[in-house]
Amino acid sequence: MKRRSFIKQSVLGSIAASLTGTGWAATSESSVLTILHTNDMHSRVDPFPMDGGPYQGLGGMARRAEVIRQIRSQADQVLLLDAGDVFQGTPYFNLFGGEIELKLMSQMGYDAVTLGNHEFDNGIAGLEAQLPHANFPFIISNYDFSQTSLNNKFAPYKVFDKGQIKIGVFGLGIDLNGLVAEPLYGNVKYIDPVPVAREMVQQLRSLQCQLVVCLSHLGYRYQNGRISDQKLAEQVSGIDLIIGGHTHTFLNEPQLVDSPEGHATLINQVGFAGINVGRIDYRRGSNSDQLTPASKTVKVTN
Amino acid sequence: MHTSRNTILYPGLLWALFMMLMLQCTTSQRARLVPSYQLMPIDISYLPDSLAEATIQPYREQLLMSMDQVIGISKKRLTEAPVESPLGNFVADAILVQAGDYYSQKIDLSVINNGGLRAPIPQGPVKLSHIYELMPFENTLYILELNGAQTRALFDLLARDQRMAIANSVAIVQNRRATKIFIDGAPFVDQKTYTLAVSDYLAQGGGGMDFLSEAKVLATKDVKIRDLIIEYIKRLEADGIEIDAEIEGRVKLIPEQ
Repeated sequence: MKRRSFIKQSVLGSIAASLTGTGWAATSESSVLTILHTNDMHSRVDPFPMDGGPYQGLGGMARRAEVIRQIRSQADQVLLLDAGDVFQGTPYFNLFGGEIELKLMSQMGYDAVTLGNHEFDNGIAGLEAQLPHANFPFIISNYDFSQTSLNNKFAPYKVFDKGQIKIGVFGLGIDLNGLVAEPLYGNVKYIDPVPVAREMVQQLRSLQCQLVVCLSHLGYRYQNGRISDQKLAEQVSGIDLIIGGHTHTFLNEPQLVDSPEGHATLINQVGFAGINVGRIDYRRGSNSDQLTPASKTVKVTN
Repeated sequence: MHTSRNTILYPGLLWALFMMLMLQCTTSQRARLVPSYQLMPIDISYLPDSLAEATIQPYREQLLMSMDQVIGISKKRLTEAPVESPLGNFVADAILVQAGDYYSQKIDLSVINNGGLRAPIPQGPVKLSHIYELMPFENTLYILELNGAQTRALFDLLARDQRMAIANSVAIVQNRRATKIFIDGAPFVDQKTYTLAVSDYLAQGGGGMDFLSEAKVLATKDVKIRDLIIEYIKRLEADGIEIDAEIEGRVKLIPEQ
């Protein structure tokens, strides 16, 4: 009994209890920061057609805009993020090259997006041509663009001041070799994400960020030894939240991974094609708050 | 029992307390933010935002004008899956048949990676937009000549990953190895060469097919893989044939030993 109460009173323990126990609470009333996130939207501008498929009727960027508008009208501080692969998957991309996706994301007020491999599907020039349609930054920490025309177009990280909270966001891209035809990505150099992530954490902590968020297009996890969000969290300490993509993984709730030095890292990914938006609310926890495990109000697809 | 348990627990308690204090010191500032979560499905319960809808409308109209035409009828919904799938077989066949026309010769093999099949073919009317979603990439056609080792490497990858579709061949797979290979109905011969119709992406070694970048390039054709599929469907439609494919034993898994 005594031991349990120690754990409960500990900060880490309370997070663990609220996350791995019965589930999650949606506590928008006391929330000081609301993170909304998507990944792998793959040019799915319109909802899936009603053709008997498993996702029929789901998604649609105009509906997503409405959801986000509603949340913004209630929530105090919103950070809207995407983990890449905005491009490719419907004829909207074949015909318009990503223009409509970026325009709509700009209207929705996306704060930061990282680069997925499909952002290179029309080559470096194809990506560059679309950048004027985005009023938000693409954040990528482990691609070296210095030998390309995109040099200095992307920041390795960005710090957001959202009310009382300072949030540091960095971005990790997947190795493009073998995934994208070489002529399309040209001289973009991929850098090992693990040391880059350590550097980013250090940098963002030194800038007094209370929350460090990684936008990752590495993929949730793999059976072979390839680097993934799971492996990243196990190897790099100090990331609070990994918003993942690439593997189109439908997680019903964020997964908690113990990082080195005991720092808890949350990983989340919400499928693909804009079928879901993930909503993470952060509230200030006092010691008494943390004794109460969160009640489960998770809304699940199907 | 009672006392012995306590003596084991006590040092553990002190250690836990120590660790918690350490954590409080190092992580207190950020950890005071307690997360909660809600998954929000974007479903029919939300009306579309009017500004977004107005922004989409001109693009959508243009898209429908060029993409809404029905090019064929599918007997059933074709989806991809590991090992062998109706959708994979259908696309591999389409590439093989149409590439033969572009090359003016019969081609021995075609291959497509499952990762390149991005959407199913729905049952019923199949629109141009469906094939763009199935094969959104702008990949073009390569005709390669594979030597025996390269051909074997292709079937070894098929046996190992089980994430690609082939046409005009059968592979017997055991313990994730291709133990027997038949191409165009005849047993595979190491000393022979085989022609392969494939996308530029795979031909250049993408999708884990590094060995294809070593193969002899017989021809590169300025036609997209997507257009091969579209032409094949139109051809079926002209002949009054519905789109359909089965799992027919192109990859035969023998129980592992």
